[in-house]
Amino acid sequence: MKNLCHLLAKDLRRFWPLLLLSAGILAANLCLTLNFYGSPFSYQGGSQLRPLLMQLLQVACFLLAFVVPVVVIQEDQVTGVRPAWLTRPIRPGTLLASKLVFLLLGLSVPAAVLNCVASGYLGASFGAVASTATSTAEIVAIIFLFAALFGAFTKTLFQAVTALLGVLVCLVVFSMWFASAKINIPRPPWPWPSPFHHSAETANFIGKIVIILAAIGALGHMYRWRRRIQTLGVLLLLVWAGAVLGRYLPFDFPPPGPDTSFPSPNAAGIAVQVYSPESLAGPRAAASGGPVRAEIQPDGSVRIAVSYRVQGIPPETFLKVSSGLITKIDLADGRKVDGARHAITGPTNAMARIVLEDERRMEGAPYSMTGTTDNRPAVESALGLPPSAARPRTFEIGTDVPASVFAKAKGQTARAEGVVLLTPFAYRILYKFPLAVGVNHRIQGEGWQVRAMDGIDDGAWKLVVDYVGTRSYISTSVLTGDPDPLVLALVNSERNEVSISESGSIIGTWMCGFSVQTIQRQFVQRRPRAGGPAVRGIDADWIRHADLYILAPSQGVPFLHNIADNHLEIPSVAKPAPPSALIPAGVTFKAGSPAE
Amino acid sequence: MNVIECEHLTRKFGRIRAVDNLNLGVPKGCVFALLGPNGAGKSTTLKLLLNLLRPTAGRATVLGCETTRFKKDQFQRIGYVAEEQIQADWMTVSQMLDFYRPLYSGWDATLESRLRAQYELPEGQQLKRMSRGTRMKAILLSTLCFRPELLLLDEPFGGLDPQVRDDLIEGLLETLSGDRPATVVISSHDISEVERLADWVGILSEGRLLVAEPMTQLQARFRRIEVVGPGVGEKRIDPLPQSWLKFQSPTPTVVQFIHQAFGEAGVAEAQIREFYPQAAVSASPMTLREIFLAHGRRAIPSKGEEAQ
Repeated sequence: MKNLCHLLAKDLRRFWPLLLLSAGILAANLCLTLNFYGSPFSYQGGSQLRPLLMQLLQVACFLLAFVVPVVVIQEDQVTGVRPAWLTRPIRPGTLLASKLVFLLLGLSVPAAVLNCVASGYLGASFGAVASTATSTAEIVAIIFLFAALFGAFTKTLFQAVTALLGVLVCLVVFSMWFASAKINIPRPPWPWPSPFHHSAETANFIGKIVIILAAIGALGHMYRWRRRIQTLGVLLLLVWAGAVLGRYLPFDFPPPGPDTSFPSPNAAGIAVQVYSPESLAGPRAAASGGPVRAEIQPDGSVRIAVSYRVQGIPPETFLKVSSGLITKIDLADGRKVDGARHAITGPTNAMARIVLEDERRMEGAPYSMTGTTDNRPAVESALGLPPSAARPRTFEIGTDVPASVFAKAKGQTARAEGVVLLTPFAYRILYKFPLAVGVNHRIQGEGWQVRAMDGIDDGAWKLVVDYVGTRSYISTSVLTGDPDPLVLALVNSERNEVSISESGSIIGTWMCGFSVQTIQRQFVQRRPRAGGPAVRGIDADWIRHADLYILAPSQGVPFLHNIADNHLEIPSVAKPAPPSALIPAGVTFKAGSPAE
Repeated sequence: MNVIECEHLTRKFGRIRAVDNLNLGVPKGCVFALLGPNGAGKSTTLKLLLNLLRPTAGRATVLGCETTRFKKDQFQRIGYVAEEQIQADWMTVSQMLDFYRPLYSGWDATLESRLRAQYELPEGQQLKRMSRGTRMKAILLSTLCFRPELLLLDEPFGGLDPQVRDDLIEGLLETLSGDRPATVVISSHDISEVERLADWVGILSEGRLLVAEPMTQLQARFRRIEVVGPGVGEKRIDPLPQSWLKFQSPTPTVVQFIHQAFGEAGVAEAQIREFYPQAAVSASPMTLREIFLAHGRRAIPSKGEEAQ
């Protein structure tokens, strides 16, 4: 431990300017981002130079994430016989540990701390901040570990960069080989009861841990033996073992949860003001929304929801609500403010956070992102819905606040303030192929294959799709820690139906390393049936005419919008549970319609 | 007791045998000069002794521990100085000593201050900005201060001016003269400087050890022989005795050669008299340089010649 600190101090003395530079770039990037997102008029009124500067800073961040580990490792070279530390009383393990601690403290922790600051600035809860910090630290750790491997295998920064480029080129060139290898590795039967009943998030977490351990293992081997070829062999073996084991692990998806939609009539009131970006919706295409509402649920908790409407969004665009929160709720009526505040326990942010990640639902109608917009009137007619022109596109987000928070506030009024982060997306179609097991579509080394469909005509329907190919590993989606840059959509062209309603997420078999990955999704097609309540599931006849679309979203500029000065009525009586999460009361379906 | 023991130590790089079946013992407390021409395998031998390289065959034991099992503790007792080593050259002398000092349990602060004064090193200058000689002094200083039991020096004096050499040697001698004298192995081309220090000599050629013995014994064993007499240069002796090296007859009346087994003078003289009974024979002692050159110029038959 004493030696570790000693070595750490030496590296700190050597590289403090580099650390200062990286912290500065991270901070500048963050400040600029916060400043950019903090203003609702930033896109329209801001300088065009600012987005460019932000991109440059992000590139600088990635460069630093590679360069710093390489030079830190190469300060005490691992290869060759000339480094002086090899003939000094320094244990290789201690040296490696000091380097890893240095990188952890110098890169991971600052990145995590700065992200915490950003999340806090945006008003996220403590739990969300902690989650962001952990996630950021993990991603940075993975990046710097692999950069450190390049540093350990080479003697100069130039060699490391050349090696990185070489590896990337190899991945691209041999991606076909990897893809065919993946296709030809069948998933062997698991003879015992499954010990894994994890969610996809847990699988992702385990995947990250496996990657981190594999990289540390390879580094440890390199430091212990200083033989590049052997270490490379070990690393490839770990990757191969990960790929094979990844096929064995029978991760299970959790059963579908309760419906999280918030159907309610739109009342008049002060609402969210949404300004869509020019490139997607025209300049200053304003939208309006509903007020913040508070509804006491049957279990006593208070559901706070806000609905908003968006206008001028092109057909292949939708808004993803990244997060939203009510930052402040003052029980108003002037004289009772103090007492009302006293009734609210805990930090306001944590109390009133609204989160509904990945909301991609168009209320009550087929989603029109793949060109079925023109047929919308027919579909709407079939569904018995009002015409599009009269029916606003309404989105909602909300959260359930525990009953105890508003225990003393029932029947009172309040004023609510908060923010919603909106992210517009446009979509382009990458692949389209019939939705049938075994069908695949590949272009060169990259493509998709439908591996399994379970639960047809029987409740929750699970679709398992293999993504074959390796190119995603060199895309920024991996570097930024977003392993899901793609969206799967089911399109029944005969019925003009598109479904992207889904639950579950990518299962993180990208722990398999650099070879291939499997993406599993569990779709829950909200499939209303005539004469009865909406049920989950999908019908065989629907699938028969369906195609699977692989879509790539291109993210627009997110906006942070204020919810200000909302008048809030907190009822004192719980409302009854809604009979249906999706279908408005009184709607009937015609024969031959999708709701059949 | 030997500090270093090599048994059939071999190291190959591809098809090249850099060290070939080396059997060597270095006694404790001696200064062992490892001599040889370029590419003889001196540096490779030292790297094998430090476990920087792994032997292809054979084994080496240093301070009682097999080199392939070296741990951190072994380097508390072994010092290594080589010109080619990659140091943290962004450090100043003070920073370097501050860095190394806590790593060694036996760091001698008194010796450090004495050598710092003696070497007159620029304390605030980075190693990378120092001249070669000053840099070597700084590195040697950082190695001597923990009073290693075994000191391995790989070409320490190469390219240094006489003043710097004297400084380095003085420092070395001071370390050797302490109450815990170290064993020193020096690989060098600079024979005259090594001759001042060494009491044991090993000569390597093409990876093979030709000679390894005390300096006095070596110098007693080697003599330059000159035989003068009518017709001695025209006399054919075939085969030549194995102990005769570099046999030549510059004139018909003179024969010169090097006798490498002159230790027992009577026996050697009798052997010469057997071939030249009437000639005048003179034997003159040789310097280490002459002995080294005698080996370096392939005085001993190579493998191919042996096979023939």
